[in-house]
Order: sequence, then structure tokens, then C-alpha cells
Amino acid sequence: MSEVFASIAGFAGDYVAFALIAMFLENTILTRALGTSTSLLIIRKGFPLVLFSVILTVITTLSSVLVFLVNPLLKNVAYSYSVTPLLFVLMISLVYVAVLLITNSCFSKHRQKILPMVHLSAFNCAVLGALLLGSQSNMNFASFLGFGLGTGLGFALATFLLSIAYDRLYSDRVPKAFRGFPAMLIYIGILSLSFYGLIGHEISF
Amino acid sequence: MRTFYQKHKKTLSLFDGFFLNNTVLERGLVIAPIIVAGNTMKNAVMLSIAFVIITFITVFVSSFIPKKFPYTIRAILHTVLAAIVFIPVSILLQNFFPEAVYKTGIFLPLLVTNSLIVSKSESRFFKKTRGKMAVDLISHVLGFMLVACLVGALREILGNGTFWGNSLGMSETAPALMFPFAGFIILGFLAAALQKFRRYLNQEPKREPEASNE
Repeated sequence: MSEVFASIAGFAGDYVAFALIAMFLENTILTRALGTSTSLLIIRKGFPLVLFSVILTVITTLSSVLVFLVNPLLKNVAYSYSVTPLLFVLMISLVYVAVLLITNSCFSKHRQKILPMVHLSAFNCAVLGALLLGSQSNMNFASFLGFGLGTGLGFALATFLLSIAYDRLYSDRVPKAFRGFPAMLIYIGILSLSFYGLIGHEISF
Repeated sequence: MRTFYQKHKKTLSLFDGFFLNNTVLERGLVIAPIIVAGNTMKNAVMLSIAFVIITFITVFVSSFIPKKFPYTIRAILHTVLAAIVFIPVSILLQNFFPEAVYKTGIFLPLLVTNSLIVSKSESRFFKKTRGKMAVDLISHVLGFMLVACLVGALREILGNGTFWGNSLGMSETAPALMFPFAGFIILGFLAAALQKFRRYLNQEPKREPEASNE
């Protein structure tokens, strides 16, 4: 009984720890710039942030499960580095189709609202990036899942921080040359600097 | 310059992906490899070569996929095709730039889901005739190369005091420029310079005050 409890606690511990690492210490946008353009796009288009983040998190987490299962197959393959993206893209494609089917059958009333966000989330750098990082780090299943969850939540956190400043950085009070995208990049750079201060060293990529 | 630009605006707009409508500085697309991994000239050149080959071949070949296929299938085919093109490209680059391939980590494989392939192919490139699309595509990929190499050179020289790995004998460097946050800030200033230049080109030229007849 105690062994079962210990293994559940170990699983939960790894899951939560890696979710927090992916969310705060290795934030997909603020430490690796992955998904930055998507983040700015969803702010500009006014997509609901919570719904988009849920979709991205679901796709990342489900893809992580599939990649965790197929990743051992790559160990004995020649040129595994070159073949990995193809295999991972195929796994994401399966999840993409599954999510579209679920959306069409279970959320048919809201499908017009959800579908553009599914299209935007699936082949996003943040999703493929999370899978590549997880596979290179030799994580266990709980860590892999946690990292997938944390990537989606970290994307939501960073997008929320960017959305707060969006209107101000696009306002007339900003000099014309810096107004909009240039000011936004500098703002992300300053946020990224603060995250770097939290980590205190360069992260591997 | 402004007069020349305004006179030939229509012709020049065919190539605007290279500079005025730059993928990175104006549209904010494919910025992750430049910000994180493009901190030396060698990395920037290697990423640029990979980006040029993967994006051009993928978008050009994808333009033959029939429009009657559902969007989902087309999107999957674009990305799978990019991942297939990545295989020989990465093997080739590993032979020529083994160290740079290692140093750029996940950012080389990530080029298979770059925004020009995933979103801009459908929303921009495929709306043109194949000839115009090829010119536009070449302008965009070369525009990426320009910014990647400029940022890579700046960061390597000022941050590391080297160029292409060779020491320049500088007494002072700013190592913080090698980090991602500096990449964001440098790109922000370059984007501002481009925005200023674009405004200048599009402004009405100032007229000389006419001499009085009285």
C-alpha cells in the first residue's frame, strides 16, 4: 500500500515540478521566444485567452503522451536527429485531427469560434518546441506530461502579461518609430530579462 | 530616395518582403531562432541556409496541392513536407556546420513549423501566380537571412568580441548581448529603425517654397 502511495506521490511530484519549471523557469515565450508571433496575433485578433490556452495545453499534453510512446523507437534509428521532426509532426497531426473531430462532435454550437484557434495551436512552435525539449531531456512520463501542461500554462501567463501592455504600447503616447511592434519587442525583452534574473543562468536549448 | 521609391512603388512592392515588409522586423514572424540561437554569425548563417531551403522548397511544392483538399489536410501536408525536406538539409548542415547545429539546439528542427509555411503560405503566397509567388517567397526568405546575419554579427562582435569565431582583440565586450532578452531588445530597435524609414518613404516630399513673382 505504501509503495503504491509512494509511486503516486512520485508521479504527482514530477508532474507538478516540471509543470512549474515549464511555466516559470523555462517559459516558452519569455525564455525561448517560442510562440511569440502567435501570442501577439491572438491579442490583436481578440481571441479569448483562456480558451486558446486550454486548446494549446490539450494539444501539447496529448502530443506529449504520443511522443513519449514513440520516442524510444528513435534511439536505434540512423540520423535520428533529422527524422525526429517528421515523427513528431505526424504525432501532432494525429492529435490535431482528433481535437477537430471532438470539437465537431461535442462542441458543434461553438465550432466556428473554436476551429480557428485549433488551427493556430496545432503547428505552433510552442507545441513542437515542448516535444523536442522533452525528448532531448530524457524525461519520465510524469515529467513529460507536466512539461506539456506547463508549456500551455506558461504561454497563457506570458500572453496575459503582453496583453496588459498591448494597448499602451500601441497608443499615441509612444513615439511613432517605436509604436506597436518595436515597443512590444523591447517590453518582452525586459520581461525576459526579469525571468533570466529568476533562473540566474543560461538555459539549454 | 523617397521620390524614387514613390515613383517605382508598384514595382518595388514585388520585392518588399526583403526589407520594407520584412518577415522578422515588420511582421514579427520566425523571430525565435534569431532571438535565442542567432547570437553568432556562424549560427545565423546556418539557420538562414536551412530556413531558405526548407521554406522555399516546401511552399513552392505545397502550391501544387489542390485547393479542393480540406484546410486541415493541406496544413498537415505542408508541415509533413517541411519535415521531409528537413532530413537532407539537416544531414548536409551537420557535415558543414557540426558545431553550429549542436549549438542551435531545437531551433533548427523548429524551422519546419515556421510561420511562412504554416500560415503565410495559405494567406499570402498561394493567392499569387506561381511566378510572382516565387519572387515574393525569395524576397521573404532573403529578408530573414539579412536580419539573422545582421543580428548575429552585431551580437557576436559586441557580446563576444569575435567574428566567425575569430577574436577581434576587443578590450571591452557586453556578454549579456548573447542572451535571449538582448535578442528581443536588439530586434525591437531594428524594427523601430525600419518603421521610421518606412514612414519617411511614405511621407509626402516637402515642397520647395515658390519664388515670389512680386
